[in-house]
Amino acid sequence: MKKNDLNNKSRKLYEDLHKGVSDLGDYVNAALKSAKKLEDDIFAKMSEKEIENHHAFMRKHQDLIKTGKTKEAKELKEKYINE
Amino acid sequence: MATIVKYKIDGQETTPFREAINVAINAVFGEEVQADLSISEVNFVDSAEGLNAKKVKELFLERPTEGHDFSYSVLDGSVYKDFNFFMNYRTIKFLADNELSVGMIKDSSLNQFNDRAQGITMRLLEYNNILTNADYQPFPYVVENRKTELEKIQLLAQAFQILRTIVIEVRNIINIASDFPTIGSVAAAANLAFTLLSIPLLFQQLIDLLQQIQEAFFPIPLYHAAIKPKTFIEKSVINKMGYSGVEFGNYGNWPQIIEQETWCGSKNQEIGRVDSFAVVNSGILNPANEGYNLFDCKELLKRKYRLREAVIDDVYHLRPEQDTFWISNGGYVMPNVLIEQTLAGNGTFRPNYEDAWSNYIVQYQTDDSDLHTLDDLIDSEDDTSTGKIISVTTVEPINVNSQRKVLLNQGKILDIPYALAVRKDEFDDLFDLFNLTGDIMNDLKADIEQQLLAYSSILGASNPVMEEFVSNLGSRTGTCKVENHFFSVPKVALLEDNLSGNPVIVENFADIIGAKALYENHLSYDSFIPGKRNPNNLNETAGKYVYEDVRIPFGLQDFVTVLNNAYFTTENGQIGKFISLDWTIDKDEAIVSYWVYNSWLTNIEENIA
Repeated sequence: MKKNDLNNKSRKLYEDLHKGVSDLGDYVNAALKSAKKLEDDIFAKMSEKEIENHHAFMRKHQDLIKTGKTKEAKELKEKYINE
Repeated sequence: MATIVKYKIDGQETTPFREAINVAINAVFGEEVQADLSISEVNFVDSAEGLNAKKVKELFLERPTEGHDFSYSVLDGSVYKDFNFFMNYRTIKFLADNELSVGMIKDSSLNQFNDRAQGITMRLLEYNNILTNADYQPFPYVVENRKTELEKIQLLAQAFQILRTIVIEVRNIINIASDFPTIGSVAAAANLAFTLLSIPLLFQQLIDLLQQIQEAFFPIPLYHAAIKPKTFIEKSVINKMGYSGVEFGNYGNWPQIIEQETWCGSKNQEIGRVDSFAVVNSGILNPANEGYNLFDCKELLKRKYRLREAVIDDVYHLRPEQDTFWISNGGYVMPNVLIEQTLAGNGTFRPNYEDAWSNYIVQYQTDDSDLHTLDDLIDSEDDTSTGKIISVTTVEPINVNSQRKVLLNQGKILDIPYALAVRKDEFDDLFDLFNLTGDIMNDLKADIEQQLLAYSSILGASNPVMEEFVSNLGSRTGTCKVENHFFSVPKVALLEDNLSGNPVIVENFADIIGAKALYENHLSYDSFIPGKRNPNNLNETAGKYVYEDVRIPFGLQDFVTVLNNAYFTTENGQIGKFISLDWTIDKDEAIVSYWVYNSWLTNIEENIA
């Protein structure tokens, strides 16, 4: 591929990327806002004990991730969800 | 008749040295305007009148690193002149117990200047704290490696992949909303939490990739430390050598050139800095780069811009040959040396064929380690760039009877051991788009971080903080494009400050110091075509009649007049210049060689490419 063709291709890709990033902004913001409502709906159906367990699980999972124990984190996640 | 009336060694009056009678002064001007007055050898002998040899030997042993004064005074009627020299101990020879010989260099002369200039290096001035960081010039550059097109596309493809993954994660939120009645609240809460965690991580990856894209597409301007030859010359001449000033004169665009010309030495370890206002590295040239010592520095400028030099009244002059300073200060009127006299044996005259040329090549060096320096050579479709790096001027007879008998044969070449900087001129819409993307990413990042605060109960303390997207690119326009931070051939450019106070390469610099511009504005002084040397006087070309070994009446007053300026006018108003002059002090005549303008070379045309 000639240098100019490569230049043109990368220019086109960059223009598309710019459009993708612009579109993504609205999309992600809207989704995160609706996720807040979803979280409220989910927690409304959970007992206080379940919510407490959920937070404990998330903290433990994140600790495992931070210490690089990804395999253990994955196992913990599967165990938690299946139970 | 002039006579020597006084001799001094180290300021002390003494007796005449051997052969003091009939002292001949040989003034050699060559192409310069000021005479070279060195004396190759003076014999000192101890005698009943004085111990001259013993005195000189003692002085030599006391301080062999520095010549002591030797002078004599000449009187001619009411005209009195001191001839001040200093002893060049590098030539001292002990001929006997009571006899030695030593050469002399004229004090406050170009000889003295040139002799010392060879020993003054940039490193020496740095060691003496005469050159400090404040004297160096930031040299802007951007690394643009043309081999990374494929890498750029790969980076963009990766960015698209991340975008796609973010979209999938966002879609998960919708799926969780629809699935949670069936999968249960606990699993839905966990899935939502993991999705919300992954989104900022994915954004961080996207930001990282965009930063890499920035580095590949829009490298940030960096600044090497460099030096202006004007700074080096002024610091050397005034601060180191103790002269009272330097005058660069005025002709055409020379004042702009000497103010702005900047030399960036070859770099093999140093990476430029981001801040243009904080020069912390040394900007001196590499010792292998021409111009590292004062002599080479000014000689390079002389060759490139057709300069002449002189030391007059403790001031060093480095001016274009076309500067009217030279001619307007010449006051000697050549007596009417009639051609008939040459027939009577008083010298000869001839056309200066030795200065005639058939082609004149001006070329900057290219740099294999930086392909940008070859751009002008390979881009045959760009009319504006032709002649920047190499320029060829040819001279041919207009009418020719036989090509085999044409007498224009020699070529001239000016090799400039620097690579002409390649200015970054593009300021394209892609760059604007990139800055816009940077703004969007920063806004998006702030939005996402704000939204995620609402989920801190789910995310715990692990809510990641994303890095700021780097979009501070500065102004790349006007920087020097290079293949990488290091280059083996030093670079030259004209620099000025932009509105932000950052140094940039002057937009039309190649039209001022490019190879073609050098010929048209400076080196065409050597052209035989009327109007090239002096547009205001078509009789002044490189064509001259050279008169040699002509005997003229000459006295001390005449010598004082021509000593610092070899230009003269003839009795019928023509301009001429001495080449050499032999004057025996006690005789009222001199044997001289000189030239007078004469456009004898006709039937020629000149083409430049």
